[in-house]
Amino acid sequence: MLAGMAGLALDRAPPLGVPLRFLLTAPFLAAGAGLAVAALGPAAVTARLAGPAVAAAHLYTLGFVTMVMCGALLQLLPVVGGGTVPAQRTVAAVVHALLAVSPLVLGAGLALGTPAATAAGAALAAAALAVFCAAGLAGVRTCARGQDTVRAIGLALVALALALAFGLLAALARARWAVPAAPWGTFHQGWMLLGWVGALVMGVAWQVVPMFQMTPPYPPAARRVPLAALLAGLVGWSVARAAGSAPVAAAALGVAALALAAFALATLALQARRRRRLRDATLDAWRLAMLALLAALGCGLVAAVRPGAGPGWAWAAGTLYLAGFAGSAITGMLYKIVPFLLWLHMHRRLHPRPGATARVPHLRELLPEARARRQLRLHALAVALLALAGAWPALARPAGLVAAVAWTLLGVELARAALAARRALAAAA
Amino acid sequence: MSPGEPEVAARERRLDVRELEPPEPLERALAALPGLGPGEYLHMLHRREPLLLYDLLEAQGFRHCAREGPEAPWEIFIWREGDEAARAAAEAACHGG
Repeated sequence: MLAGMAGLALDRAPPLGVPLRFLLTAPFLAAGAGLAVAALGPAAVTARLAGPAVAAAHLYTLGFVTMVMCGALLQLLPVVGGGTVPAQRTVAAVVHALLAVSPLVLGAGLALGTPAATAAGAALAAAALAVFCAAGLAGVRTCARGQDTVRAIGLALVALALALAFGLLAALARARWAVPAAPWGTFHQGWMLLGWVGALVMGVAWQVVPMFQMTPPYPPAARRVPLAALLAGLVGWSVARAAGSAPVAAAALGVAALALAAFALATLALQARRRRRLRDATLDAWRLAMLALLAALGCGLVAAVRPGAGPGWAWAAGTLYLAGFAGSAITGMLYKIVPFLLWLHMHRRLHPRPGATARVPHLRELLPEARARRQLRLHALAVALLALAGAWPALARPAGLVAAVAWTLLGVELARAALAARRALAAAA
Repeated sequence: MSPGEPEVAARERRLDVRELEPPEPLERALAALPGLGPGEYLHMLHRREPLLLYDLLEAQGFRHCAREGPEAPWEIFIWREGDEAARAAAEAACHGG
């Protein structure tokens, strides 16, 4: 029964600095996105496709979501799939630097309407994602075959590569270059949100929900059917949109949405059957993520079937998906993975040989549960306010501020854990 | 006795971590090992194979034998390197039980 979870090879884990730099930087870029929404106020909602709002969205999706996911994948591919990411230290250094800088340059270009900065930011982001996709897919090819999680990671990386290509075409079209006419921006959003974010969270959940939340494993059908349906839906939607067949495109997008809904419901059902009844910030974060995913799909449905209902529904769907679903799942994982990586690193440094007696702090000492819960409550409030700003755009300003505080607090808590680990190592030296 | 607390039984010390979430099983095992007396081995009951623990055991001078079931999805028998009595008892339990 547990064979699917037994294949972890944590001794293959990369050096601590490879994933950690991504995980510690990302929350502060998300905080920047919150501040950008606060600065924009109601215009973030009512003009969400204008330059400044697109800038805020990229600060969050590139600087936070993609930043964390890249760091996590550099850890997961060797540990879960037994694969080898080529030149992982160099890839980590280059991709991290580019992902930290590019959303700021791109954002400045989009917000201020400066084509040169927009082009430079897009080029830097494209370089980061191209390097990461190439290294990640090379790593996937070295993984043991047949693992559902590795399959989902592979699909997510292909989706990221496609989203990047569509994003570049959208940027060129925006800069009035002569590119073939097509809804490139829509394709970019679809493959980025549903493909890259959706497939990756799914594949990671199959591993981490049973392991960390003490639930039964996902049944094989609950893994494979949603993943296949998500892929089929995205491909069908893209082809139908390109061919101009709106009803087929809508139906295909519905299939992809149903795949994500099935994943959310399966996860909630497993969480209800968990073996240990202790409260845990990660468990609550993942519950919030799944509920937000279902709410996002509901709002997306309203926005799709009632185009006259106004931009608020699309805004609510987007914020519930990005901040509520992706943001909460990432937050929950960060609360587990950062202290664990630090603890493991300390153990290896302090107990390298028989007889070593230096004390390694417990995980809860590195990042106390009460502090995680405090941040999570603030995060949940931010998600609710952001979604409600769809109906009442005046809420965008307080929502952005609360989100900025919540993400800053997340970054501070993770940094405090890293500093506590450093102090423990220094004290033992 | 709460789950995860070692209890002494002849030459065997049992540690049931089936209900604990990672990495508590690892923490409990590493905390229990220094207390092993001569001739004693640790019998861990786990719901998954603790591959990471093996890596850390080697570094700290312990050896192990693991099997699937029958008492738990995974059972791991751990003894101090050089303790022949513990090794013989642990391996007999691992291969025989």
